[in-house]
Amino acid sequence: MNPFPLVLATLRRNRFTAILFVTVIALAVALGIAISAQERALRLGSARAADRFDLIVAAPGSQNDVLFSVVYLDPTAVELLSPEMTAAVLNGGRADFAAPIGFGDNFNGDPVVGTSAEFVDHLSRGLAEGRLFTRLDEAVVGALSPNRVGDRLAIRHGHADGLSGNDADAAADAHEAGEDHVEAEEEPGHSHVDVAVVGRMKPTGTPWDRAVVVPVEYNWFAHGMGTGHLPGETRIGAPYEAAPGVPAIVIKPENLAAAYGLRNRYRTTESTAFFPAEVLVEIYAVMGNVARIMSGLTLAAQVLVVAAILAGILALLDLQRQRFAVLRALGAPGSFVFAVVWLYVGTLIAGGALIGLPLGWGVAAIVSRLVARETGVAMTAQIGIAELALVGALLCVGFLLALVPALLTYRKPVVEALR
Amino acid sequence: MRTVAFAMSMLAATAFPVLIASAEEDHHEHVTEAGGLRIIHPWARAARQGQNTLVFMEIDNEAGEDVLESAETEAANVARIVGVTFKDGIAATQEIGAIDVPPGDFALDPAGLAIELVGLTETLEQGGEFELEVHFRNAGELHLHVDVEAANATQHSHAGHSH
Amino acid sequence: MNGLAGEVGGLVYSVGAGPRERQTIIDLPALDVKPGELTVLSGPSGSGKSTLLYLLAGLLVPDRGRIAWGGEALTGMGEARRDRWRRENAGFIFQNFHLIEELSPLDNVLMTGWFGGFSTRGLRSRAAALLERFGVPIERRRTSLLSRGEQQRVAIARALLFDPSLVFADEPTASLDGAAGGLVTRTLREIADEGRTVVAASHDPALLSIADRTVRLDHGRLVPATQAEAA
Repeated sequence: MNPFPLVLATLRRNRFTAILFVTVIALAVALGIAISAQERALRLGSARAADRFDLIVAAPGSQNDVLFSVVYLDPTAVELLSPEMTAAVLNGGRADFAAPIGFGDNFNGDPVVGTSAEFVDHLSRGLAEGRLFTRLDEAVVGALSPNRVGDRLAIRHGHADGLSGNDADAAADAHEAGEDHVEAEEEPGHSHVDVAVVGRMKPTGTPWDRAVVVPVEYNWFAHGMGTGHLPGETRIGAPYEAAPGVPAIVIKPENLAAAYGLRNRYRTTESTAFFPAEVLVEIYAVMGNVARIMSGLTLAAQVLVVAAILAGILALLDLQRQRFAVLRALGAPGSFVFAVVWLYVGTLIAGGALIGLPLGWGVAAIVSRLVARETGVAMTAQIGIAELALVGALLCVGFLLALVPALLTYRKPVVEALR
Repeated sequence: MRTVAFAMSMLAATAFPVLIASAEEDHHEHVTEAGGLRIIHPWARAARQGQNTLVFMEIDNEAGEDVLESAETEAANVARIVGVTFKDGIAATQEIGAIDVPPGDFALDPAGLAIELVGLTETLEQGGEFELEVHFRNAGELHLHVDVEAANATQHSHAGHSH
Repeated sequence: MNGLAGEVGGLVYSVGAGPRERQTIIDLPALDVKPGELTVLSGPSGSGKSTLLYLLAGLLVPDRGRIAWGGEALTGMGEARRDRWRRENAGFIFQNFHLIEELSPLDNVLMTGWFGGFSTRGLRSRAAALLERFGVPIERRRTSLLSRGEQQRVAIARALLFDPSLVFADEPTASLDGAAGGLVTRTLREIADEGRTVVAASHDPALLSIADRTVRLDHGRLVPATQAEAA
């Protein structure tokens, strides 16, 4: 039995309608694929971005807010840890390092964030270019920053306490020179402090890629909170003998047991500690629920599409009923006609599904690129097992549904159609 | 009159220890204590026979530094101390072995440390309970009654009420 | 080639849903079809000649009666067996040709070979030979570009692919003009002369004139032979 030439002939007969059906099916499939792939890309991208932030300690409050400020540099007002708590955490031990994080400024729209050189090295897994900062007025830029090594950046600050930018500049020089006190110039408004870009990070897949990273001491000093060190101290980096309160500290525990120990230790009335993943998992649960709702809606839409297409195919087949009757009259067994119709409908559905798969991937890839550009979080949409399973399931359902027109056609009385 | 009073006091005398005992029993379910170290609200997630589950609890350590060394139960083939990890947004466990329990409050919670029961010998259903023994280096052995909560629970159903 | 002999007895066929709408289309006490002859079923429109043809070919099932070809009774066979019988023993030609336009003339002839149950060896050369015999150019790829006469001749070739001993034709010349119709008529005569039993339903005088036997119908009943010959 060879039904294939007739299947092809039937497809050619109403060529444009068939193409229309295939296109509609492809679009419906693409939608489902895009949602599935995009949700996973978002989940993996955000999880990987948070990967280098092992344990975060902050003031009690919204862990979400802290996570988004620290990892995704999405500034939200967060409470500061008290200086005492800050000191306790920074000197708490059981860690490879404890890096304070400071926010508050931006440069040409890109965030300026202060931290330790150790953390920059850890986050970037080694620099792409140049070296880490060793002075108050040096900076490292992210992989995608438009600023280059060797540039001098004039960073504007807002001051609450009257210490102006020029003062900060002078203070930096004084700090270098070992002086512990600087005369504040009364200069209203803002002014700049120059930092020299001495290095560039490798891509991290986070918004840190566009940031200007300065020593946290610079951040403290520029906001009138001292340098975090004792008077006369010229070096930057840990230990921070006189750290002010900070919004967050990123800790790299020395081992797994220490990680849980530190997390427990810093869950107090005055502080909270969390692994980024535990916060993200809750966000993913919500995302997952949203995705499930969207998938449910999409599935409903897809079922409607398939139903409409089936109705259309039945109409098409009805137009061709005389042809099938002729086949029967010529001696074709019922099973042959059944096979021709079943393969015909199955080909339309399979064609749609197989085109929808790469189409959906393409849509997800575009959306991922847009989202990545917006948030600074790197993400790539990929076709994974989930999407292949989706298409597989659709093919199964499609071939099952194709049995309906096959049965209806094969059971039609022959002679009536012939006349 | 005097007979009645005597009878009443005899009744009370016999009833009293019973009442005390049942109060302790009731208390016993939620708090277990030994040598200055208290365990509050031990709970586990519901799971079927053969599967694994995690046990969580709050530890209030008013003795000195201690170490949680091991645990065992008839409800599972193996009980081990683990940390919950997340990989690409999916939860997994990693065995840690003995953990330090410093003075103060110390929690085993769904995003941190836990006692993993591998290969349950019976199905644990929400609302039920089972027994677990935990060994501390200094405080010794504690015999716990662990409440079984929902399979996706994130805290003990009585969390928030103090003892 | 041994054409099959047909026997019909007590044939009644009616259509309609309830007892009141029931209409008797065919009422035929007896009919014999001689083997190797060209028998034409004729009669005015609505006389039931096409219906009788479909009954004889096993495409319709009568209410009662017996239809047998070469001693083998069609009545009493299930649908699948009748399909198989048709495949093995009969060729069919329609008024409107019913070719598959999207297939080439050669593929149209080959088509019955795809139904399964037959060896397909040598079919291609046989199909080509048939087309050549009936004067249809094989190089023509597009069936839709053939003339009507050529299309009907492709249909005849299709009917003959497995060398059937029985050929049914339903108004084979009704859609053709004089010359083309004449060619088809002569072709039917030829294949009957080869020993096949050919049964055609037609009101074409040219076909009636070369028939070995004419069976005249009126409202589903036989008109006696003497009257038909007189007409």
